[in-house]
Amino acid sequence: MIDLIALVIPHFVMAIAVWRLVRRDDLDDDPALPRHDSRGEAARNRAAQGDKP
Amino acid sequence: MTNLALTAFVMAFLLAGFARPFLFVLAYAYIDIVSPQRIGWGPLGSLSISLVAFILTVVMWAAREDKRGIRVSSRQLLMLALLVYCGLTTLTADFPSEAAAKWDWVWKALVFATFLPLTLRTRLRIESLVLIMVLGVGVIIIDGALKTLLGGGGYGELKLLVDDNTGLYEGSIISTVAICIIPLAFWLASYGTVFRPGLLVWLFAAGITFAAILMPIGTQARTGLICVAVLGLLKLRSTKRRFTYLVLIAAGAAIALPLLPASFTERMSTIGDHKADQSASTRVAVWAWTMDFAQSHPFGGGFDAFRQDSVAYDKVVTSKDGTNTTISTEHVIEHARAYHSSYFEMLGEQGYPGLGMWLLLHILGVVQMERIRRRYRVPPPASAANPAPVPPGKRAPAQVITPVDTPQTDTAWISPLADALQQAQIVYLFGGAFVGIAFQPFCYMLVGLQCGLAAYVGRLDAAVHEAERMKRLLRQPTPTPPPPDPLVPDPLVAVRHPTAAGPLLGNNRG
Repeated sequence: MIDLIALVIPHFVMAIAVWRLVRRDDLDDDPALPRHDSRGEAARNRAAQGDKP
Repeated sequence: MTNLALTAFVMAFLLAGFARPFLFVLAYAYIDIVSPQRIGWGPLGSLSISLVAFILTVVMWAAREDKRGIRVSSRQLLMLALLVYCGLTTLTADFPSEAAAKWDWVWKALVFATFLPLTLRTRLRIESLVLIMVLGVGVIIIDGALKTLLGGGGYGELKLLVDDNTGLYEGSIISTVAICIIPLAFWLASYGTVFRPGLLVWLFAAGITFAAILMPIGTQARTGLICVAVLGLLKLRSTKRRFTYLVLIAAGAAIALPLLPASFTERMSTIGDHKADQSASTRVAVWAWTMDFAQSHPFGGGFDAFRQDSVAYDKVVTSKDGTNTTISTEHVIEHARAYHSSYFEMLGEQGYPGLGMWLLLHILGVVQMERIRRRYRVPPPASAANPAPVPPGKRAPAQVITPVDTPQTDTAWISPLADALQQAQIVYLFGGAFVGIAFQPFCYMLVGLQCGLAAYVGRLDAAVHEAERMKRLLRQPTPTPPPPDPLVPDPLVAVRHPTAAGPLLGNNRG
């Protein structure tokens, strides 16, 4: 019974954490860092040409 | 039912990795810490689930992760050097088969720790790894704490989920690691974004801390008590209200001490006098043997070299007969006793070069975390790259759009995390003096986390500098053209109309 409680509590919290992580965009793209993907590059190119990003 | 649920959990974790590859890293960390294959049965028991997760982690990183801007730090290179060196000592080990068995998990721990910082590209990734490490250890310590509270503790008697006491399920090791995670749990409760700070989160962190402190009591591992004392001192440095902290500690100790089991206080009292305790006497004798061994084997004897030791010492035995107390000495001879110290483990197995690399790895970690801790202790001044917080009800000032994507920097979490990681490492280094955990994978995950945080801070600095540089460039006044010379005629400018020939050819649609 004790083993069961000890297993269930942290695993339940971990399951919620994984569920939330799957849905978070900032897992792969940190908003504090400049983007390195194609959208970021395109935005930079437009800004360099004087257009709105 | 438990086994099926565990199997389903691991499978779901791995499946989630196909959606977000970084989750494989977390899955591997979870499997390495909790070892669900040892708790469960069936597919998890027969399959090397740890190796599967490891391969998936590396393959998915190679195939789908953004690898631009990654750098290998000096500490990662140091771990690689240690890996190669350990591989060489394994080839020439005094006990080849035993050494090969240890090498089988050591290489994975070192490779994963070296690889880990490459994946920790975002704040959320760093946080989620801390979360899984805390919760993974939580699985073991919640079990231990509940059993301790119900009177199931005792030296070598506390059974933690599995029947064998290897890895993190060993009493002294889990006592040390449990204390290591306390600062990380509090950091999560203060700065977490997966679970935002709140009453429930704080209660959970307090529960984990309570469970962690119960581990040295439940296992009666003296190492754990030393770790608690070390962490208490370290917290004194980082806490703002020191007097309140000291009063709380004193009150907590006054309440807890009478409630502690007699066997615990009796065992803890042997910390100061090792001659009265066989376990402590053995350690001292093995350490002396290891120093002699290193003189003749400066490059170590390979993994499990302790199997050739033979130690002899005099143990002080105190016996009471009514009012008379008799003190006598008993000559004890023991063979193949483990090092019971990470420092002597490194010295005996990897010799002076291995010990040097290992010490350098950890000393650099402490220094690096101290630098980050101090640097980010005070939030940086407001700038375009780091806008000042806007009071509620007021509009934010208009910002200049720079050609680079302006970073929205929140650095308040960095210094406390560096502090927590440093505290965890110092606790590990003190605990490691009395238990052989030089190659414990959890501790290398801590090192990997430190490298990841340092690399993240480096990228953050680079982004802020780039934003500032671009801002300066935009603010520079453009050179005004010289006034036109009236004697020089304006040049003729040829303008090409897009449909210049249209009306002439009679195809004007108007």
